[in-house]
Amino acid sequence: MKEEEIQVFIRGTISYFEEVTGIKAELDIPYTKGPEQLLLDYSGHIGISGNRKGGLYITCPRPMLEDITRKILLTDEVDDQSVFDMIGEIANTIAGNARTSFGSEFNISVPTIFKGKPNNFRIVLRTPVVVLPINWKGYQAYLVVGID
Amino acid sequence: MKLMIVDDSSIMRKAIEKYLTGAGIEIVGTAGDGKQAVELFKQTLPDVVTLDITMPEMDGLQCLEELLKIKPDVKVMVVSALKDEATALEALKKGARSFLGKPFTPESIKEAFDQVVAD
Repeated sequence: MKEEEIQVFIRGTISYFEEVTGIKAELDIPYTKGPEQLLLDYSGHIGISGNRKGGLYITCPRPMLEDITRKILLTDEVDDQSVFDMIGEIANTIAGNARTSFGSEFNISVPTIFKGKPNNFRIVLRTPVVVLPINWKGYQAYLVVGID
Repeated sequence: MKLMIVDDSSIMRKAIEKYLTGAGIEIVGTAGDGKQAVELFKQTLPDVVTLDITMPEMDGLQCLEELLKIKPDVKVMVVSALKDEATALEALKKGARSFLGKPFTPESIKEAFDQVVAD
C-alpha cells in the first residue's frame, strides 16, 4: 500500500471515533506486521475484492467495545450480542468509508466476527500487512490492513 | 407512519430504532438481511424503510428493487457505510428517496428521516 492509502485508513479511523463517540482516537506510528499474532478480545474482519484484493480487521479489548456500545445505544446495559456486533460494525464502517477514496470497484464483504484467538480461522490479508495502533480513552486497539 | 429497519448489524438496528422512535412512528419490523426484509415487508407494508447495503443473502440495492415492486410508493432511505458518490447515485437511481452515510448521529439520521417523510 502507498503511504497516501494508509492515510485513508488513518483519517477514516480518527473520523469514525470522533463522529460516533465525540472523542477523538489517536493513532501511533503504523508499522509492518511480523509473524506475531495480533488478536485482542474481539476482532472484525472484512474481505476486500474488486479493484484491490486482501482484507482488514480491527481488534479491540471488550471494555472498549462496551464503552462505544454504551455511547451509541445511549444505555448503561450492554449485552454480549451487542459487543459482538459492535466490532463488526466498526470494521464495516471503516472499510466501507474507504471506498470513497479507493473507488466504487473497491468491494467489501460482510464482516466476519470472532472472539479471542480461534485456531481454525484464516484471516485473509495480503502482504505487506500494516498495523495502525489506535488509542481511544486509554484503550489500545489495532487496525490491521493487508491490501495489495 | 409505519417504519421498517433493515441492517445486518443488531447494534445499528437498535440505534436507528432508538433515534427514530417518537410521536407518530410505529416500528413494524426489523430485518438482518435482504431476503428477510422482503418477506417482512410483504406482511407489514411499511411507509418508510431504512435500508443498509452490505448485507448477507440479498444486498440492499437488490432488496430496494424488490421492495419497490411490491409497493412503488414506499419511501426508502439507504443508510450505508458505502458513502461514495457512485453508490449513492446508484441507490437514488434505483428509487431510494434519500442516502445517508455511516457513521451517523442521532441528529443526522433524524434530520434525514424527517426530510424523507416530508418529501
